[in-house]
Amino acid sequence: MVGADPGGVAAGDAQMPVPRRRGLLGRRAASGAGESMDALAVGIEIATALRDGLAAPAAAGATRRLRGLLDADAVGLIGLDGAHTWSGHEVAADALVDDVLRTDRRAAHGDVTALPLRVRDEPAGVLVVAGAVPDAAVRKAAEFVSDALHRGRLESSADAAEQAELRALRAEISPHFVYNALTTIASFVRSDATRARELLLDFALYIRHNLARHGEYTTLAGEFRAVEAYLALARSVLGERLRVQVRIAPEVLPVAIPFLALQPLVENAVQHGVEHREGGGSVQVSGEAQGEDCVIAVEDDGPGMSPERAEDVLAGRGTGASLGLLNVDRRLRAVFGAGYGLVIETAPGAGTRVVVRVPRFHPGVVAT
Amino acid sequence: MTAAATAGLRVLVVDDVAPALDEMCQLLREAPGVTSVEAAADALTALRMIPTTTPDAVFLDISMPGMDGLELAGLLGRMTDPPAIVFVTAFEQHAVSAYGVGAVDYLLKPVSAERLGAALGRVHRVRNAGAAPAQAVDELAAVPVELGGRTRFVRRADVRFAEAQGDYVRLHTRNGSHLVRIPISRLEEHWRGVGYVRVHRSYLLAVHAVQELRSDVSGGLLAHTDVGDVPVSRRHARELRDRLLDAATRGEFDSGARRDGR
Repeated sequence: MVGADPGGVAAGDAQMPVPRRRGLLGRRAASGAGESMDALAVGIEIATALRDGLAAPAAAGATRRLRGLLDADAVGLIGLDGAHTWSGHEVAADALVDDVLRTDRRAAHGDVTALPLRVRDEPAGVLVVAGAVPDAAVRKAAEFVSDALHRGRLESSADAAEQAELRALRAEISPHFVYNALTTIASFVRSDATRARELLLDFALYIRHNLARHGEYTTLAGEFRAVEAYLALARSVLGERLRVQVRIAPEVLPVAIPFLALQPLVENAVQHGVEHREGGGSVQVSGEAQGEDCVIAVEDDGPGMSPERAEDVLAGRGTGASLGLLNVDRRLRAVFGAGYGLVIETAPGAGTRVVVRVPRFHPGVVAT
Repeated sequence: MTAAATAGLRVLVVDDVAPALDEMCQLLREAPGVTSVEAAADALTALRMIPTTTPDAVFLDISMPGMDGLELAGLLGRMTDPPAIVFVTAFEQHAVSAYGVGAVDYLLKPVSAERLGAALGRVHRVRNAGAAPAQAVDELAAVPVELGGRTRFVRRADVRFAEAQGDYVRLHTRNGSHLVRIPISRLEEHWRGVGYVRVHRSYLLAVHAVQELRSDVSGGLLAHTDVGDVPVSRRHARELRDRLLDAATRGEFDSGARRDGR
């Protein structure tokens, strides 16, 4: 619940100056361009304050601006869950509010008027206005608040859709890899039970990391551990054909990165650089600090590719495991900004080196 | 680890899944420093056994039919001298509530012997915390060495790592190495609280001296320092990684100000 002003709980309040002109809507006095612009500015402020709904702390700012706009004694916004925000002296309007919620129509008592707020024809709350304010102005205000709430919901569902898309972009576990690993472990159960046990523990770690849904971020230490588990399994499958070196500087261990920002790059290197080659190949993974950035590199000495093909991969025109690279590229850009995508250094016959650069400290990115 | 060798632990394992119970008991029987292992297939059985077996630690599955592990831990917490609780569970979602009831550690199934060793180490430390008198004097902040017939002191802060050579250890510093007559296990007792970690049967390593961890994934792990590489054995790898992560989180490796010890 949010109290009436001037107690001002709203974080957004500080940025919103109290409107100088009062009663623009109430006096029907939009005579000059200046006043129109003032009304527009106040309208935008109200819409912004209502972006997160009636229960959000910022809603207090909206009631204050509505009161100014209507030149009312008091304005209250009441959500469906009973959360209420007042500007001016809170009016005992519970009966009116109940009335409005029951009938979905205007209710009034003395100079207190209550109107339903609707979003997509569904009840969304109640606007209560006290004072000598024309009915038409109150109705207009209710419409405006309803529109603002609608817009807020659209925005938050667009955010949710973007989040969902990023989640869907998370790399998928390769069934090919899983069955090969299990087959190998099954064989070791007979010949080397200790090794089989160790590999099963690696397998558990790999699966746990890949199924992780809690929090969007992990530490580089956590991601490297998953990478090493994957590489230990891949090595048990490929044997001497896969040669591996992992190097990490301790200062970058706590760096926060999105889950699975690194492992798909390593899987790609193993698949492209080693698996399909006679005689196998080597994969090197490294993490180190360079100034304020953490630089992670995944390198294989496989067949490489033309720069055009590398461009295709990052443009989404690649196939198979290279989709893993695209996926990582998109997620890194979404989190850290456009400048923090993958860099692919490659040429035919020259192996492939994929470099990830992430800020060591990024506000709002915290590993869980 | 020396504490684990001297004081034997009595433990009770509680898990409703029979193979998981057997596996955990087996691992604990193989762990150094554990003298007795009892098993219970449910929380009520465990509750009946505890007054007579008086275990030092209870390894507790969380998700069990009837009374679950968190409830049992809550009851145990009201005892006057409660056993240490270590939760063992398949899924991480309970971690927060587990530490809420005062668990000493929280293990994820399947459990590795190394990880179990770390948990036992914590149990020992918690159990000894009340008994052990605080060590007032930092005895080995400098180590006397014979150099050309004269006694000199090597500052601990200069030691990157110590290497066991029989009853001696070789202290490796940037200005060369020095042979000192002290068993590595005794040196570890004095230094483990001040930034050193045992990474191998024969090596004690300064956490701050590590510049890079190098792994070939088939079991070989090396800690690279400016005076040489130190092998890290599998059973010590986890503790080293945890200590490095802690130190890095506290910013101890930052801005080229790699401190030369404390």
